[in-house]
Amino acid sequence: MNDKTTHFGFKDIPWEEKQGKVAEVFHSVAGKYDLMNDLMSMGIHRVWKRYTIELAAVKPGMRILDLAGGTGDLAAKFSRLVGKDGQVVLADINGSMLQVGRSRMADRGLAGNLDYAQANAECLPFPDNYFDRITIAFGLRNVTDKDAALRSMRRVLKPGGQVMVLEFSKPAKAISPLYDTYSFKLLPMLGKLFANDSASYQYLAESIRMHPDQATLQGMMDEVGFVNTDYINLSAGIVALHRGYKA
Amino acid sequence: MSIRAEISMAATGALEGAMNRLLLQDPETLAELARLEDRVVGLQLTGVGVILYFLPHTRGMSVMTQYAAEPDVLIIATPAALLRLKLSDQPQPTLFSGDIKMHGDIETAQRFQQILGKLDVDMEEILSQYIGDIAAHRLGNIGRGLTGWFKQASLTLGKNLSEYVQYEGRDVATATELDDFTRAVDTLRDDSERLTARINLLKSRLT
Ligand SMILES: C[S@@+](CC[C@H](N)C(=O)[O-])C[C@H]1O[C@@H](n2cnc3c(N)ncnc32)[C@H](O)[C@@H]1O
Repeated sequence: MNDKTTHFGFKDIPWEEKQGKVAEVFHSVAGKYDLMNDLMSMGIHRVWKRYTIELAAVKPGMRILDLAGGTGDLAAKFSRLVGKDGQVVLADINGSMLQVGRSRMADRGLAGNLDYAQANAECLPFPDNYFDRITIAFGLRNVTDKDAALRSMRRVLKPGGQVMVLEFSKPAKAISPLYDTYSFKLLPMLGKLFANDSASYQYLAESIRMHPDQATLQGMMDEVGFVNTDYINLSAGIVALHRGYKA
Repeated sequence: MSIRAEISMAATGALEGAMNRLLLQDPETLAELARLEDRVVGLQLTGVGVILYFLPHTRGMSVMTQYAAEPDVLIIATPAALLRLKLSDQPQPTLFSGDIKMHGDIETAQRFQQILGKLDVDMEEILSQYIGDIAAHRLGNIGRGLTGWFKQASLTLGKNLSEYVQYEGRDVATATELDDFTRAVDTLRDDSERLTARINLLKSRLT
């Protein structure tokens, strides 16, 4: 028996239950996910993602993993950037999210170089040294064993390859009161209004707070062996883009 | 990431969104564009300090401000020349006049320009976004501090709520910036009108 506990939002729950609970949240939000993203971040998530895509410096022919890729915002852009000689894998643990992603890609006329994988970030089903770039956007905080996930990402990354972790982080003090009101009052309300599911959005707000801050996450990335790690604060640290390389 | 970079990303998203909406209403042009599916066209606006990369695909195009590989062709144009692209009745000759230079695959550039020409893109609007970006850069330098950031952000966020959600927000400029760049666009327009007048004058002398 494992009596380790972990966070599910602000609650402490048994370690092995988190994955199932996270799955419930994303099954429940999958259909409305894109709309809610726009509403919740007032569209700014597109700016954060766009920035990540530009900094990824993707070239034709590259092989890219968009992990916890959900409905595929990043994967779609990467698909055009790598071209017909490249490959993009959209991976997510959640079948419902992946399904929404897949049909969105078909709508956009994307197919040729895109693959889908239902996979857990903690134990990725890909060969060693396989990808030129790995992105995980707003995914890591949902993973139970973050160290295992980072190790697994490093394993499948090519030497010289780059990992990018885009995730909510610790905002500058000056904006925290407003941010608190927003995420604990407004966010669940929006969730109730538009998705009739305030509990899931309550979880999202709480999980954002429990996620490691900038320095901690950078430390974790160093710990598993990524080199030249750094991070860039976006929107005053509401979100941070972490980068690391495999030597 | 500075507020300047965020504004630049938002402006690029807005441009991409606007172009793709137009393209979706124009299947013929879209089909022509799709034939450039494996090409990348860079557009450098002299004096504005920004290069836009256009990546056509079957549903429109991606627009980026950074591209890691070599574009197939780089078009270097003055903002005035770009404006005239739209103002003139025959867009073609502009390509070869002095204020537009090209490096790389000229044919791709021509095809791309013809597509742009057919599309009812508001060049002034596009330019204003990036001229606004320069104003934002100035703002960013003064207000690196959080207060500056926050003022800016709340303006941005406030505006965005209504429009940004519809498509990648175009209206991220503050009032000062708007003033700045309407003035800049006006100057550009005056310049280009003066140029047109001079060209007409030259033409009449030639005949
Ligand atoms: C907030 S969504 C982000 C989706 C997308 N990357 C985006 O930015 O829009 C988080 C995603 O992480 C996925 N996820 C959660 N735990 C995961 C795990 N252990 N391995 C892989 N994906 C996971 C969820 O299914 C969900 O689709």
